[in-house]
This record gives sequence, C-alpha cells and structure tokens, in this order.
Amino acid sequence: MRPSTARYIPSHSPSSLLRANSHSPRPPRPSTPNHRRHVTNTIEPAPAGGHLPSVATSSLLRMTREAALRAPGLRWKDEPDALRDRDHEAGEGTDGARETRKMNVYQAVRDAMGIALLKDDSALVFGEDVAFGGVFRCTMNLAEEFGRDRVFNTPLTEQGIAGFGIGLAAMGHTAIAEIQFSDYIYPAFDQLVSEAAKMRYRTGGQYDAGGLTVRAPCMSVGHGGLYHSQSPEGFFLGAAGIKVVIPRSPLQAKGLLLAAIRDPNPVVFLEPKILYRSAIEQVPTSDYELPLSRAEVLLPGDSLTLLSYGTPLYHCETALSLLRSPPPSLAHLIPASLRSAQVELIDLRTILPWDIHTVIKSVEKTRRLVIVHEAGRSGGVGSEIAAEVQKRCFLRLEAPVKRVTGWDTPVPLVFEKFYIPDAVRILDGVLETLMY
Amino acid sequence: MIDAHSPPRSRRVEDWKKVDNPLLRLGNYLESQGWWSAVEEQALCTQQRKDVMDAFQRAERRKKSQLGEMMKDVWCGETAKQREELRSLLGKYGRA
Repeated sequence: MRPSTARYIPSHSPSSLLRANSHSPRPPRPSTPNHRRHVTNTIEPAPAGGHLPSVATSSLLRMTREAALRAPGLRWKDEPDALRDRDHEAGEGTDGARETRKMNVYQAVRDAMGIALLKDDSALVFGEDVAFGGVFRCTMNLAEEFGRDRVFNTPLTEQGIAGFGIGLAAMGHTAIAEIQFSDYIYPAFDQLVSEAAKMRYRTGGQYDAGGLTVRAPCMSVGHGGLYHSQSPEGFFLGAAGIKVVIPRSPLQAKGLLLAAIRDPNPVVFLEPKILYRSAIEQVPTSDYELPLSRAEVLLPGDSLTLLSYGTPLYHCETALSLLRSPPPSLAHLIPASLRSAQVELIDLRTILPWDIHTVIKSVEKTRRLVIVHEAGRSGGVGSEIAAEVQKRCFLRLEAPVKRVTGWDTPVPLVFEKFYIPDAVRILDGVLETLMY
Repeated sequence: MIDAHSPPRSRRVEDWKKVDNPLLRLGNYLESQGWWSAVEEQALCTQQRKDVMDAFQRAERRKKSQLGEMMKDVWCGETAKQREELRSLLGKYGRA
C-alpha cells in the first residue's frame, strides 16, 4: 500500500500554530472572606499575606456568588419592564433567587449567545468552523441546540462574513458573526467601515446594520506571533457608526456581549483570547446586560489614574502590587513614599465610543494618567484618549499623559514578552508619572 | 491554556483523500510508466525525513537572536522608533 504523501505536508491550521504551551498550574486560591453585604463598587481586597497576582488569582475577578450579583451596572433582562430598567441594587427584586455558575470566558460567551438565540428568533450565529463548536469552543453545541440553519459555517472569507452579516442586519435579523482571529478582520474592514458604519448615515436612518455583532478573539496569547496576537481596535476609531467593546472577564463578557448584540448599532466585540480559559469567575446564569460606553472603576485611588482594557488590566494589577510591596530586585527603584500611592484602576470596556466622563472625572481627581494597551503606540487608543484628556484637563494635569503600549512593530514571536506592556513596564510608566 | 481545536474530518474528505487525491493519482501514473517505484518512494521519504529532523536539531541548537532583532526589518531604510526606549528599560530593569 502506497504510503500517503499527505503525512509530510506541514499543517497550516491554526490548531498547529496554537499548540498550547504548558500554562503554569493555578495555585490554590487564598480565601477572602467577604463580610460586606452592602452595595459596593469595589472588588474584595487582596489577601493580606501578599502575592503576585496572575489572572487565575486576580482580585479583579468576582469569585463568589454575592460578588457576582453585585457587579456594578448589571441589569437583569428577564424581569418585567418596571423592575428591569434601573441600575441594579443588591438585595432588591429577585436577587435572592439568582443563580451563578463558575464559568470561564468562552463558556460565558457561549452562554450569552445561547440566550440571544433562545430569545430572539431572528438571531443567527455564523463564521468559520463555528458549527462544530469553534476553535475556542465559544459556540459549543449551539448548532445542536438551535439547528444548522441558525448556527452555521461560512466559507473562508471574512469579507463575505461581514458583508453577509450586514445584509442580514439590514433586513432585520440579529446577525452574530465570528471572525476566527481579530488578525483576520482586515478583509472585513472595508465592509465594516464602508457599509456597516455608514449605512444609517447614508440612508438618513431608513436602513441600518444595527443588528450586526462581529466577535473576534484578540490580543497576545504567548505564542501567537504576527497573525494571532493583534489588537485592531485602534483601526476602527475612525469608523464612526461602529462600536468596539473589549471585556476583561467572564461576567463582563456575557453582560457586554448581550448588550452589544441588542445594541441598535453594529458592534465589534473583541475577546482577549488568553482569557478564554484562564479567567474564571462566578457568572449569573440569568439574562443580564452591562452598559456599553461606560468604563468601570476597578480600584479607587487618588494619586494616579491607570486606564486599560482587556488582558493588560491583569498586568496593571500586578504592577500595582509590585508598587505596594516591591521584591528585592526592584526595591531600590521605588521610593518608599510612592509605595503607598493609591492608584485608580479603570477598565475602559467600550473603546468606541469611549466613556469620556468617567475618565475625565478620575483624572480631575488624580491629575495623572497612564494608559496601557497591547496595540502599538502610534495611532492607538492611547493617542486618542491622551489628546482628549490633555485638552480637557490641561491645567489640572501634573504630568504628561503616559502611554505604555506595544512597540511600533508587528507582534514578534520569540520576543513577544518584550513587546507586551507587562507589569514591569507598566510599573515604570506609573513611577515616571508619579515622579514627574 | 488555549486549546484551539479543529473540526473533525468528515467521511467525504477521507474518502476523497483515498480515491481522488491528485498526488496519489500522479504517483500511480508514474509507477505505471515505470518511472517511479514504491521502493524509491520509501527511500526518498526516509531521506527527506532525516534531512528535516537534522535541520530541526541544528536550528534548536542555535542561540536565540539578540533582542535588537525585534526592531529590525520593520521598514527598509527606516529604524523603528522605540529602540532607545527599549534599551533604557532593559538597562534599568535588567531582565534577561
């Protein structure tokens, strides 16, 4: 029998490119007893013993049912109208009966799409390889549950996926498209910018692509290289008419995705892929939404505002813990007076249109701003925010707005960790700004 | 960590690979003309596999490049803007 020649042809599939490096095992989570039952916008404090937070043990994640149900801005969407459209307060309404379940980001995303498909008969989910569950399992069993005429594969064409989705949306469907990696969104860029973003404007409101939501995994993953690590959100800043949303955790992902799907504007929903499995928290199982265009203050402070979104938020958290209690190798670089600085950490969440009000309010208080993102420096989100902040807060600022970002190069493969704004680089930016 | 998993191959694809694969069909034709044989095929495969493994091992033994490579070849004739910044950060924090 002739040996198959196919054996010696290298695989070009994403799965071979993303063969997992072993991730360090998750240490047992120290218990953080939560004695507070009143409404609070802050996260539980880190354990007193001190540790270097990584995503698995981050205090930014809501690990208990009570914490999850108290997520600020959470609105239940399965209550009658009267109860529904208020900002959520703990202990009110049907809170006591609400269930939560431990989920990671891909399970939360899947949960959100399941709810959307269930409640909205016109909803469709489509993209490359989504029918079998998706390369990141975000669409697991959706085709089995809702049928192959509602959850289906498209050919290999991002332009086609976006164009098809825009057409569906224009005809009144809820179109939930998936682009397999945000690095591949560029063939769809023309459709999104020229058609989706402009449809409402060019027809004077007679037509729109509001029913379209385009989901894509973004940001670095450790071994993604040039084409599996990108953060293209900056490219969309010029496309007024489109919204761009980036969640940081499972609870955020589900609420923001449901809000994005139901928002009457086309939304590009970028999911940091490294968080798909590594970010785990308690997520309410009911239908709920989180507000778009509202940033969230994660840690209150008054010395400096640290603004970011997606994966770098966890590096920010690490940087702040390094600032508070530096290891011996860094201690000489951090003056003791700065170690008690209270830095206000903000998650931007919606990149376009971004929450100017929350950011300005914070910078007016702290007078210093550091913006962190993985995307390259030039023309990134940081440049837009810095320009707006310096215009509105010029006389209040005590230091130039600092941007800690990826370099102006493609995302390297072997040297990825020198490209990403990691905890040390963020700490350096914070120190430079505090000491200006 | 990330577990990008790929779709299962369908029966249709498997059957096509066995019967209609143009590589196999060309191979059969060459054999039928006496220009190629299963023995030669086997020898070639073995040799090529060895060549690949040797190249692989040679590559693995090579040292990592200098960090400066990260900022080369972005443009032709222009340098990436942030070399100095990276250099000063490394000097300050001394990471390997």
